[in-house]
Amino acid sequence: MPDPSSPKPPEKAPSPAPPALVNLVIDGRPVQAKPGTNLIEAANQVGIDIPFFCYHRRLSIAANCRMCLVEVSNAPKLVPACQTLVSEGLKVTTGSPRVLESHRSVEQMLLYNHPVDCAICDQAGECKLQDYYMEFDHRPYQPAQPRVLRQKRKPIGPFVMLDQERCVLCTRCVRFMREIAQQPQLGVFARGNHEYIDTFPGQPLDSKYAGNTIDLCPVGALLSRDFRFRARAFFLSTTPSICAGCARGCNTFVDHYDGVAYRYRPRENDAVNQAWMCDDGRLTRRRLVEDRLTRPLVGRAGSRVQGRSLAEALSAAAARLKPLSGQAGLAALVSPQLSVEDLLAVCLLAREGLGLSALYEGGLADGDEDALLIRADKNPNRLGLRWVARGFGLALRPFESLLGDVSAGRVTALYAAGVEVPKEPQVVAAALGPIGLLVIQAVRHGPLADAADISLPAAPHSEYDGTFVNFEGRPQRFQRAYPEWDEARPHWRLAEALLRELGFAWRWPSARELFAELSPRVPELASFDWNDLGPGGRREPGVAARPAAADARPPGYRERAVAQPGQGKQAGGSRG
Amino acid sequence: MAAPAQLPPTRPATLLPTGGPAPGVERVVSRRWGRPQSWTLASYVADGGYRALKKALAMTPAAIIDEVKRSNLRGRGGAGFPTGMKWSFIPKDVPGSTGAPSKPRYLCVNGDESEPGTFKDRYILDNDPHALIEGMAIASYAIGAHTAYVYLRGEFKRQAERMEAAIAEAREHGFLGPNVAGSGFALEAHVHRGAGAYICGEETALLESLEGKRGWPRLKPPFPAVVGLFGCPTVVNNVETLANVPAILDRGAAWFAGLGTEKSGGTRLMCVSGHVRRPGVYEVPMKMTLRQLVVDVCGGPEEGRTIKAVIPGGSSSPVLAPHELDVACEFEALKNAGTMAGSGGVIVMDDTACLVRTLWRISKFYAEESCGQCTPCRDGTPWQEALLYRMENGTAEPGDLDKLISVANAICPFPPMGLGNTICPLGDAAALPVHSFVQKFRPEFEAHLREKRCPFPTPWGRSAGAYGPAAPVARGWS
Ligand SMILES: Cc1cc2nc3c(=O)[nH]c(=O)nc-3n(C[C@H](O)[C@H](O)[C@H](O)COP(=O)(O)O)c2cc1C
Ligand code: SF4
Ligand code: SF4
Ligand code: SF4
Ligand code: FES
Repeated sequence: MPDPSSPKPPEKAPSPAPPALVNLVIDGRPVQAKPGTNLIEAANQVGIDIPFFCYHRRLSIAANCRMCLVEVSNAPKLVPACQTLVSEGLKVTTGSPRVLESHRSVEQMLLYNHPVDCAICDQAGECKLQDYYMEFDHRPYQPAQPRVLRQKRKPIGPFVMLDQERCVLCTRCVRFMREIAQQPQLGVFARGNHEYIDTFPGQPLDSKYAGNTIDLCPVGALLSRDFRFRARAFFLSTTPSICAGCARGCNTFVDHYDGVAYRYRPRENDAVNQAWMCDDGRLTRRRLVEDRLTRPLVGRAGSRVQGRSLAEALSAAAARLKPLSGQAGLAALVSPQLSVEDLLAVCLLAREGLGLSALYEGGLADGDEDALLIRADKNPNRLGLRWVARGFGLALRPFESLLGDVSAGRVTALYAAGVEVPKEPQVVAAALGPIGLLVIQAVRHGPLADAADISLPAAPHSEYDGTFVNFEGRPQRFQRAYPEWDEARPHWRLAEALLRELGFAWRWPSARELFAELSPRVPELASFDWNDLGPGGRREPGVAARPAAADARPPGYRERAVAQPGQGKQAGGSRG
Repeated sequence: MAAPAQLPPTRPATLLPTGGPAPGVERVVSRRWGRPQSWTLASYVADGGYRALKKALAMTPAAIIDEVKRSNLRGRGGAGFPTGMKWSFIPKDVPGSTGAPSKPRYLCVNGDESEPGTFKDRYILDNDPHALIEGMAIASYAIGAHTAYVYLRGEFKRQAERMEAAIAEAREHGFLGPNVAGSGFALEAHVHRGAGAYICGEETALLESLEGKRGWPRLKPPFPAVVGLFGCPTVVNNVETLANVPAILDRGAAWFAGLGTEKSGGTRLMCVSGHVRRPGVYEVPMKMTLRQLVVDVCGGPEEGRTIKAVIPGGSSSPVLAPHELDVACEFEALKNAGTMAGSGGVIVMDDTACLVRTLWRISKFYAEESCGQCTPCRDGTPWQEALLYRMENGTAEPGDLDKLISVANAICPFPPMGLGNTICPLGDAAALPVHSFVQKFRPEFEAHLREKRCPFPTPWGRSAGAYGPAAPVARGWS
């Protein structure tokens, strides 16, 4: 869109600019597009949707679904818009009776062998076949022969379930595995309308990126075994988020309903994850819902005091920490699973409330790594932790030295913000046994929560607004999808409450104010605009965001009523 | 190495006697068929073989291409594309990085010959493999290819063996190999047998298949002349096309062009099958009309029967009614008649043939052979088949004929012709017969619908129910 405030008519004549734009006309509307753009993208620029199944702008062109056929002025026959590139003076017609008839007939052909079991199909509600049926076909099913039967539920890999009958053979999944994941584990078998998608004998679909084929599948043929039969897609709301599975920080959507996250989907961001994410990342969704600690625990397992509220637990924790403040035996363990805002508040607490000059660095142990997305560091915010600690003048000590210091008696009391540790939690809990006081903030139950004197319930990152700094030093905002469970609160809220109990006057209505107040202490954060939500991150209050075509559904696919981008009243605030 | 003499003898082709009904007929491709041991090098050389190759190797590639252009040779594989022009599309010099050799080029010989009604290439492979090898060598030299692949239909076992033996023999005598006929030009030829898919005759599917992939036609552009086998410039030619080339070089483009019509040089092999008294492969002049071929040369239908329909160029070409037969067996004339010369497979049906059943059988073939890549063809061809099956079987519903036409229209709108919605022309090939049969023989289809049975009394026409439960039902995976 040219900027109306800066009209530049004189520029054209003198400069024979090499990256000249191609002029064409689509449905009577003039369009300027870069050479090499195809007609689907060019039409999209002016808001014309050309229907498609097989096209995906990050995959090679297959042009096999024939859904995108349009009329062009330089060919007598209908041409596939995905395969046809813009050319100077081209006239494109997308809505003529001839074109609509071809859309209708392709839709009808695809439905000819389709089971149409939408009632039990996870894709229902976000299925292109359903949408285009409503848009173009609208005719009763007229079978002339029994449907070709195929495998209805075939677990082809640890993450993916295949329903060959629903497949429209667009080969997106095959092309993704070949071109992006570079593990060609899917193929097309048999011929004609007996054709089906399958894995090769002895080689299941065990790629770490298999889950992306589920998003790419325009119908309900490839299904997530984590999501299958758990929610109806049309009831889910969507919130832009960041995957906390590793240091890449893939941009995601959290799809949730009634305070429960049901799945992650990748959100498009060319700089970070293109349009993909890994299956391990998808499965970290379970950390949002499984074994959640939602009420404080006071007293170690066995001698637990029942029924304490969060306020009571906070004052109990502060009362026991206060006399140790500034003493030699007190230490703090901080996890790189926390957001930048959490860390700002926790470091403030450590520095000013507890009088510490060093932190022990927690976090999950390193794992596997590859060239596409997966990073060895399984924590989303290690760089953020290092930046913030340095900003507060806190030294970082490796986790291994903590256990040594405990057994040597140098650490007798520990405050832990986040209990993700690089060793078996049981081992760590046992090693922390001799400690006199253990106060933790934890998202989930576990051996450390059992070993702690006081466990404060922390919220996972789907329940508050915050920032992770990925391994490249790119701060990325995630947003609150739904309210905190029960008494769980963000780490920064808990730290703020502890500070207050310790007699400090810090008060922040939301993470935005916290960030504004504390981030100046961290020079690396100076250039970061907290209100910048990243690609596809903007949303209206109460309305789920545009999916930004991460799964190549048309933009605005899920919520047609969404406001135009850039018109949002409120940039990043959470919903409540 | 199998000695050629041990191979089983072929059934001699039914041949048009030299100087047959059409005066001045000259046999070019079939000239040597039926002679004893015609497939051996000795016999070929004795008949003047490999003379043209030596002549060609003394010419420049550009001069050869020019000669072939002037001969008006057109592809015999189906599309009738001028061969010399096809060769000239090969980029003259593929600029590589400095000093690096340019990309290799390839010649692929299309011997997949699976179109129903077509059975000519096998006779060339059987009877005169050296003519093909000589044509390949000349073509390779003209386009700068040093490797040629002969892609043969999987069922052509004997032909593949004979071709392999001939290649070995030619190599032994220096007509292939590192130094072809002492000219310094290197050429290796390989035989590759397909696995039984009609679609692998489509040139880009053939290339995919040769590369070891699924035989799925490629999107065009780019065309094989630019991005072909293994991403390199490639020419794909039919067996008959290349078998014509030695004669052109030997006797001159003007002679060859003079045999044909203004735009199509040479003669054609026509494969006549169906209800005629003398079916077989005939080499005929381009000017001969279909009626002459079917009635005069092949003897027409049996006593007391009349011709009802003729398919002129393989099952994918639109059918002709009896009054339309006065058309030359030539590319332009057939095109003007609303059909196509295709691959020369002439299928004759007399008045005992049920055209609904015929069309059902044709549609079944295409439903079976659709590669399944693009939607209209993958799901439209079985739909056509199922509708036709119902008509023949007497279970059709009143709207089925319109439905059939609408399905065929979705694959390939008619008219205009040849403007399909699919990736490759197989979709057109499946829809055009439907369009043309229904257009020209509509009353017969309506009779099936009205009477709710097949009105033909012959066993072939009796209700398809007699053949057991519906074939389409039995198909499927579990
Ligand atoms: C579905 C389909 C099947 C084909 N099968 C054959 C075949 O069996 N043999 C053949 O020579 N050409 C076949 N062709 C034509 C080839 O694509 C190609 O046009 C031909 O090999 C070119 O050779 P020519 O220029 O010598 O005719 C087929 C085309 C289509 C669309
Ligand atoms: S894929 Fe699923 S939702 Fe879509 S039409 Fe088929 S059964 Fe219905
Ligand atoms: S499984 Fe889905 S993505 Fe794969 S070919 Fe079928 S419809 Fe397309
Ligand atoms: S038209 Fe038929 S044979 Fe050709 S690519 Fe499409 S599905 Fe395959
Ligand atoms: S053919 Fe263009 S999107 Fe499938």
